[in-house]
Amino acid sequence: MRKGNFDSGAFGFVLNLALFTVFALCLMLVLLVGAAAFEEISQESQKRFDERTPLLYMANRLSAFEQVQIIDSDAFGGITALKIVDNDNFIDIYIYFCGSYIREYYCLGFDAVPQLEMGMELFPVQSMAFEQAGQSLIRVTINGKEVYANVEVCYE
Amino acid sequence: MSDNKPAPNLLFLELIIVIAVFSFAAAICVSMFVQARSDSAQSRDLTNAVIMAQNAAEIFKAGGGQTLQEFNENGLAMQIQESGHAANTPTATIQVYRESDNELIYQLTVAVAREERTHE
Repeated sequence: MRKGNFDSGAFGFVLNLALFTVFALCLMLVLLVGAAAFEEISQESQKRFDERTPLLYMANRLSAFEQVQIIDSDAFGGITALKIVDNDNFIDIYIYFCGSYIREYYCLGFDAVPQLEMGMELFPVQSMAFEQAGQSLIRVTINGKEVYANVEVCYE
Repeated sequence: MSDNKPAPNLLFLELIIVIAVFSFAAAICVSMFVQARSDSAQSRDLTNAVIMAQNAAEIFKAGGGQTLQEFNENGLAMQIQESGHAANTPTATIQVYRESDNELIYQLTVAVAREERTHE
């Protein structure tokens, strides 16, 4: 009788321990799954933000002006750039890709040679290209993604 | 002796209750994780759909209401239908669908007002 009680107590102890182990494992599993899901969503959100922001910035920037120039000459370090002429403020705005960044450079009309490195870093990207896609349509390709802007395009 | 007997049963019962409550909470958490992933995917599709529709609208506007260019990328398909030329204003409806289940993600109606420009 005494031995039977001892066995029952030991069995109960082991059962409780096993249940507690299962509980702890499940808790760990749910935490890991939750952390993985949160990390994935966070990375996806950041990736989407990095992709979308430069595209929408360029589309809105170009749409704000009526005319832009595509400059593809040695005068600008051999780099293709967009030149936005802001006649209201007598400022030329250059947008170009240099040093893994989209840069923007504000140049007064009398400032003859723009300095590439002086441009303000806007977004880190891998590549950016401009192309005239129609009479008044420009295609900007950033990291392989395209965005179009309806603006009068001319070459210098 | 008889006072010590119920202790293991109480502990067992307590553990069972705790695990039941935890299971209920875990089920809610997992369903929320799944919902969050689904929302994230929908948000991604919506973002891509808006950019695609915006591109099509810019091309439509640049072409004076004559050019309709459809894009198909990122698992999304686009349909553009001319809605009419009311008052010399070409109008088109751009619809972006998810290819997997044909669900409408985004719809945009664009109109190009043709201006009569006077040259001085």
